[in-house]
Amino acid sequence: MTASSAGNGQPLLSVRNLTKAFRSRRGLFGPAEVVYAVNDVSFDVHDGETLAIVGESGCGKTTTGRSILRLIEPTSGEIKFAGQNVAELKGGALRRMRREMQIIFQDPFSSLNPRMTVGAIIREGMLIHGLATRAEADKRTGALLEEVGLRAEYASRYPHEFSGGQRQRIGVARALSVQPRLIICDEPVSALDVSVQAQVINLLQDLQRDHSLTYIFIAHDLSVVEHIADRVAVMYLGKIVELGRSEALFSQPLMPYTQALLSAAPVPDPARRRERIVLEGDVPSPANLPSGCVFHPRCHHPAKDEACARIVPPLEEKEAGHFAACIKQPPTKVTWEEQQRAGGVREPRRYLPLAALH
Amino acid sequence: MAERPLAAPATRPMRMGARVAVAALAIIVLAAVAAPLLAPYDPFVQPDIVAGNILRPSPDHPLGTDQFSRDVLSRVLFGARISLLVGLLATTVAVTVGTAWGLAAGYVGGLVDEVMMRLVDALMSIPRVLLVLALVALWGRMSTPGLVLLLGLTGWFQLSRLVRAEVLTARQTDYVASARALGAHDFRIAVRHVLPNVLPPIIVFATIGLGNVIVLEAGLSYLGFGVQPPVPSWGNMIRDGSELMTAAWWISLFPGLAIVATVVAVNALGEGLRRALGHTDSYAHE
Amino acid sequence: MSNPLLTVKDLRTYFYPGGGAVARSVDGVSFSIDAGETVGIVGESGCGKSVTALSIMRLIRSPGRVEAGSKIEFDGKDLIALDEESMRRIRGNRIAMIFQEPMSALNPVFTVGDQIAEVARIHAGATRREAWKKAVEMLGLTGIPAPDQRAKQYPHQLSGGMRQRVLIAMALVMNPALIIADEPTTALDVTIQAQILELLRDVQQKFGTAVLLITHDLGVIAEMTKRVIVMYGGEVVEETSTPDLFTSAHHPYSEGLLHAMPRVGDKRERLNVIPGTVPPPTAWPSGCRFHDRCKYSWERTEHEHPPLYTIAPGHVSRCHLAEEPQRRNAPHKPLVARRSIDAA
Repeated sequence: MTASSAGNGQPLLSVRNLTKAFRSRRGLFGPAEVVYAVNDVSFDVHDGETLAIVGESGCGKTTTGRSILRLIEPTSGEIKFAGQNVAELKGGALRRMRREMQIIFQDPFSSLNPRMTVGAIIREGMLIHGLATRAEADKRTGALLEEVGLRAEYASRYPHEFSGGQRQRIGVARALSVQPRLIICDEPVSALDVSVQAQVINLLQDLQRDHSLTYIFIAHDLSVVEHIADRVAVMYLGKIVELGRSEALFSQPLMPYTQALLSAAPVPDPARRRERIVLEGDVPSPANLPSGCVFHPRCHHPAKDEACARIVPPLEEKEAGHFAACIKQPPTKVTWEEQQRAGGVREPRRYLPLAALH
Repeated sequence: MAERPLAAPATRPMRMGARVAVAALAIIVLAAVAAPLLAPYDPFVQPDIVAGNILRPSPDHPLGTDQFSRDVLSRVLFGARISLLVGLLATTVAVTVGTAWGLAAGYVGGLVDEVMMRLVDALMSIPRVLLVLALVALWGRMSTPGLVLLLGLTGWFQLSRLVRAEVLTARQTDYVASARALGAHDFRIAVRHVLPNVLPPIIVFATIGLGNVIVLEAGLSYLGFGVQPPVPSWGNMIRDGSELMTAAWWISLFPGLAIVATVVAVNALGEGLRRALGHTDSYAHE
Repeated sequence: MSNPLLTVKDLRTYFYPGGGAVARSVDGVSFSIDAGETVGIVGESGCGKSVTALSIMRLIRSPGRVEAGSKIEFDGKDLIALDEESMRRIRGNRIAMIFQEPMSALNPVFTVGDQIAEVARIHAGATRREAWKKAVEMLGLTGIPAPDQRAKQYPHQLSGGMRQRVLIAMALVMNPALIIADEPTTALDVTIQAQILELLRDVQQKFGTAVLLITHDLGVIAEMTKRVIVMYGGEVVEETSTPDLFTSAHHPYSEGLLHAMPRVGDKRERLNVIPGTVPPPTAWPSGCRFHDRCKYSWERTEHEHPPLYTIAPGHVSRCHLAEEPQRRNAPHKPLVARRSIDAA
């Protein structure tokens, strides 16, 4: 599968068939069950771009991000960063690799060690990797603080003295301290107020430009994603169900789940009330995945039929660079004959409800 | 400049009771340290060994004398040194072992954790007093360093559980994930990121543990297994006076009061620290 | 013209933390809601919107208190003057509240059916059997499939969206005149949020319940409300009809909030920001409480606390620009120069 956009040369990061399964037990003596948090996910990220991963809670977006950094050990799959397979690295090699990939967290409170000064927090990475002497590291810490819009003097203070937005900036400075190439932003603005959120988004965009950073931006807020992302991957129940350039995905969402997601977001414009696709029911439990297409029980595609419950839809290129996993959105390699054999009675046809557009 | 501390600092001022406790403890510790200066008599000298008169409290002997004609006040002061020293050292041993054990189990996890914790469970199933007495019976008479080790090595089980639980919580935080993402070694993460954040409960435990050790040491000495005469400890002083309780109550009473005062103060301090280092009450700012 | 259902007048709720400065979380808030109306309160964390809701419910606990002189009139009754017993009879009966975190608002050791039934038993003196029937009926009404089965489940067995439906069912048992919903969808995923908002709208239309909807999300405000109150610094800074807020916001804070949102279609532009952060309720700035973050601020705003000016019928704004509208066009000093931090 080549789920990459028109790539110029090697992608910076290339994830293939990433799977993370958790074993859990129902109750004290219940049967052991395997829960697939991430289920055979593949994508590429190119140098300098922002790939957003969106989805609702439990869809596996955070697990995907943390597996790439090996903060969670993936069950299987390949993670190639600049040609090296991260999944196979051990010990010192893994620690050295980590310099290249950093992470910014959602919760500005639990992400900073409350017993360390801001300076110690930002210095740590430089000292670990021997990037600077203590004196140089101090100087760079001041410069980093100023770069993220704080004062150099704040280095001697403790995290609790700062507001959520300021703490998020400290987290950004810490990530930048080791001069990474890729930063995984795990819901970096979800916990912030609207006005502060805008400050942090602008900061992230400025830094990306100044340092030629590559971002994987994990989020659930579609308006933020549309604002910041070059390409967007939509996840549902551990799988990528749609992947494409941001403009294409927002103007022409092909996967019915993406359509529902887009139509569900409240629009801050009372003059533009519109129809909405309201999905039935809840997201099924990942311990008990629906057969075939994981979305089929809630799907509103008019051609949905028995085939959707039987055939696992491949993530396939519907338009140049625009991938979706739906056998009812043509073109598809799953032929009509094949679908009929699986009990299909409605022929695939392009469906793009107005409610999904804005 | 609009600094806005959203989260209150992790510490709060201590309450009144804890401050009184700190003052009382300071006096007790000072008295113990300065015992050679404060004590009116030599605690070992038996000036009236022949007649063996037991003197009631009087201006000459404010707390009276014991059956060997030794000054009780001087012995209480010198006894404080032994009781506090044994208590502090034994607590240090317990805290060191318990913290290391809990940190290792919680941080390494898996089978190691399982084995280490089951061992602790087994040790915890024996009441501490019984365990101590059984070991005393094995070893016979104790030297003071032996006593410290005995009390320390039987006092860390609960702490190790507590530390392990705290470590498991701290290990889940994003700042630990971040340290790993920065390429920090496990040892560095455990010592720099996890340990400082589990310190508050350790400190509280140590304080309350100190009170327990002082009582336990007194009990052992009272039974004759602890600090050996003629070295004064509060416990063996009570033992000295126990047979003369009706005739010469002061021999046992004053060391007894010293124990009570010290333990109450230590526990009040522990409670105060628990409040001060614990989670803050939040009120609705939204 | 009939009296409004709820009138809040000059509400002040202060907190007195031991040893610390007084937090004036709600500081002179006035508004009213008519029967059957949906009014939104929007603002960022720390603006006083949730404390306002808790004050109406008389759920402020020490070290907080509603100051003397505050007035809350509901259905012709002065809620501040009511004794605790009478207030208890109003809560859950005439005024119901829906919270942000449904998990913590439900008791984990009782089934959800029991918890809904309890409301009917407390307020309507229903028998056990009647109350249970009512609970199942209410669950069905909120669109939960197989309500008789669900009623027997415990909160942890339900999803977040289901739990929020249970809370709504609980709120509806007594057919209250007013529902206060404090960030009812903030903890939910967007597709579930859509379901819950639709449910709230249905309920409101079916029963003619008035809804006070508290949120930080202008999208939710736009979709749900007719009238909106913008709060900042413990005060109402603007109140107007919802469409009006989106087309002709007057207060610079409202304007800033609207522009700070990433919007569909403005991709890749820089977002407009409101510099700085909300000041703590212990230290509101002098003059206009927004002046240190406001791009229009001038001398007067630093010293003179603005009243609520009437901009148009039904539209008020706490900004001196109402008297000096030409200031809006005057060249603005860059805020960055005055505030060196956080002015990205």
